[in-house]
Amino acid sequence: MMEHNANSSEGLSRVPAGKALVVGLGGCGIRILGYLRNNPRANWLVTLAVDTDGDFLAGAHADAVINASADWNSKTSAGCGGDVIRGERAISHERANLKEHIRGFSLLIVTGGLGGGTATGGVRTLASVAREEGIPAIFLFTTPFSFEAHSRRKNADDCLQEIIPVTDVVLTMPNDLLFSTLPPDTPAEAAFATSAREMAGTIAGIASVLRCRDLLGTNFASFMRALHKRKASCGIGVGFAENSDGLDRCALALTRMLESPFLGGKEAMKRADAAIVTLTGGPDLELGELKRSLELAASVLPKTVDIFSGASICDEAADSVQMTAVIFQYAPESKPEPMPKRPAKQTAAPVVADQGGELPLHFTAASDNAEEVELGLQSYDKGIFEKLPSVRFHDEDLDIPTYQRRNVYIDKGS
Amino acid sequence: MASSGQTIITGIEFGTDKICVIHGRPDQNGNIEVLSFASRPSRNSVVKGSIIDQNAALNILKSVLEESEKGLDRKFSRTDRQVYFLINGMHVSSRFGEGTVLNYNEDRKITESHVRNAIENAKNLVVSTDLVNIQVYDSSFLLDGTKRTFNPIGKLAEKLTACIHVIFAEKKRIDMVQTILRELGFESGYPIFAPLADAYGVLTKDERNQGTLLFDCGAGVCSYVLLYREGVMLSGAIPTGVNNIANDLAIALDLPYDFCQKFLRESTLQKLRGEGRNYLEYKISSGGADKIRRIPLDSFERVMDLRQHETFTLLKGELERANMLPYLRGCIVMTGGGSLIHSAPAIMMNVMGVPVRCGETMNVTGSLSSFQNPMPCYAAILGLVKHAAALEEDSPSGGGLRRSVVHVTDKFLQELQNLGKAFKI
Repeated sequence: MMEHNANSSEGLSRVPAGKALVVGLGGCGIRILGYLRNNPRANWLVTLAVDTDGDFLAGAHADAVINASADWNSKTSAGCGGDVIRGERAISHERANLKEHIRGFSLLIVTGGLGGGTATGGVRTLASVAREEGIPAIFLFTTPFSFEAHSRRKNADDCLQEIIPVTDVVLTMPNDLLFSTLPPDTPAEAAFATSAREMAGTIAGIASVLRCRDLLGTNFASFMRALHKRKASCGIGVGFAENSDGLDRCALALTRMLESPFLGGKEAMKRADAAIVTLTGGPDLELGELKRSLELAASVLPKTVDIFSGASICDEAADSVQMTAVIFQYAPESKPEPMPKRPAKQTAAPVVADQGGELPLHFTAASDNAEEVELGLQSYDKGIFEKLPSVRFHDEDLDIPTYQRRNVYIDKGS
Repeated sequence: MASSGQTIITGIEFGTDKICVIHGRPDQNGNIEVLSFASRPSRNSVVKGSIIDQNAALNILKSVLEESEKGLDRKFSRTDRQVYFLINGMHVSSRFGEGTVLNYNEDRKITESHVRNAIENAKNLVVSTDLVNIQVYDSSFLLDGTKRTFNPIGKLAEKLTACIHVIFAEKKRIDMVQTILRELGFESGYPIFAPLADAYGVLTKDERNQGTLLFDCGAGVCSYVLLYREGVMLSGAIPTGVNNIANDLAIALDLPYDFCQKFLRESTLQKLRGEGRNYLEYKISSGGADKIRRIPLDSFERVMDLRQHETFTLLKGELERANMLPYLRGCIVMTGGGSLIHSAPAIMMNVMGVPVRCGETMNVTGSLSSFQNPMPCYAAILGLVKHAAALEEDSPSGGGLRRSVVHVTDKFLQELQNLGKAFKI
């Protein structure tokens, strides 16, 4: 389950370019930084690797590293062996160093894998330092596979309980979600690598949403607004497509976003209470693409969902588009009051609503029928027929691939 | 039959995939001799069987005509030539017309005049002014509203009801083609619904009698006609075709559309399976380095089968809605590029529950080397020549159709006297 907590962070909104720091905490965090380094859309992010294992740190791909010794006496750096206490001590020992590194940044993204020693122990220190420096921070962590040791899962759960009250946003990605997208014969190493790669993509997606100049505003405040001191679980999906990918890049981005392992699949989307959906493109982003993409994304969600929709232009994203969705499901005890809406119609057209200036657009999805919602989503991936008039046959658009309308998974190979 | 060597028939197909021209004539044995044939890709000027870019279609047809006319041994004036063109797509619709006459004769025998009046009454369908009646085909007659017969003349009844099958098309689509033809020097052209042309060339007399469905699976649309006792029972179109399968593959497997088209056209799946391979290796260039993608052939099959199964299920639904399934007693004959997909006949048979075969036009001779694709792809245009030859042959003036609807109906009445030729209109 992905957990988050939102405390008030009024006034946080836009991240100036080059002012976001990603901290990779522990072995998993460093692996994520490695993938982030290879992501061309994340080259504006500054990275900092923090670990208690010196050998692992030596291979880190980061702009800066902090070698936190788990042994205060010997100063050796052989890791903390999964011991949360040793991890916490080691990272807290570097408190001043950490403060020095994160100072001056407008956004802090901390990532790693919960359940072990370094990240589970060190996250408290990072949260504390970020709060002291007044830097908005997003904590993105993976949680252990269900087949990993029970102690690791307990460590992760305990850690979450402790950090939720003291952090702005915590998003955790259960590695088990990968089971829904990876075939059972996937090598274990590849599964962990996929986990790290997806996390890197998620970080790049969220960071770019918060960074780019917005046409329709979605920013840190949107996160805060969606969460607003409510306990919730969430999922994140990022889809990226370039012009050279052929066909309709927006439709491809949407499809890829929906296939993101950490989005949680269609079941998670059916249960969503709120969602942030953003489209990031280059200066060549067309109005038609923008409208259609956001309408499509909205149409996949149940009718009752509050959708915070945004669009951004990013010069580096020329000839490409990125669609990012963060979906939230509030815990039962913290269901919010329903937000005022205009009467829902059988259309996913955006409805402008004044929500205190922080919620530029309020979408109402097309239908609350789960099956229809799925069809509505898929129905826009029409390839060569995209720009042709729709030909309906018995109320069905046959230009949409059959496998999409039937929700059949197709293995694309490797 | 018109004298061989004198009647040159020009057939034109504005297909989603290609624009074709064929010149042919009936030979002394009753076969069709192809004199020349040419085709060029329609390059998006035709979508789902309908012309959407008139100028582009005109230019392509002009070049195809010039190329095809080079194959003729002597010059023919275009104004003297009878031109037929295929129509297809969702703008073509069909309806049943019913017309009744009462028989006041003392002996209660149905005469030819009763039949003529019943058919005239049946033609009086109320349709939109946007539609034009392009063809009328016989279906059956009801004696006293209860007993169905296919030749009522001489039978006893107090009331005769004629059931005819009328094919309509959007007037503006027909006008568009006529404009193109006039620009190219033709006087006018006569439209034939594609699956009926197919049926004319592909089906045997037994098949037309037994109850056979002709299913033309083209690039843009699939069209069909159900024949029973040599009469047209049902016809229509489904707006999906081979291009949809290629598009599905492109989206599902992140492959270029052109590659998927070629994959289907060249039966690559079948070839790879024959080589015992389970994957298609697709080379992609990324940052100057080549990378190989291995795509399971099962994925191709899955996407293709889903689309085909859906199309055939829709077809079955159309037959069920019209209560025509009981008339499908023979088999299904598939034509068009879609019929060449290896799995198509098996899936069709699975859905419809009747035998399925792939059809080729029969009794065609002459210049066949210019057909670049397998013959089922050309079943419609070859059938068009056969259909047109029959119309020319049966024309009272010998000079071809003047008004297709009137002519068809007249011919229909003539053919009632010789039921064996009823389908020839």
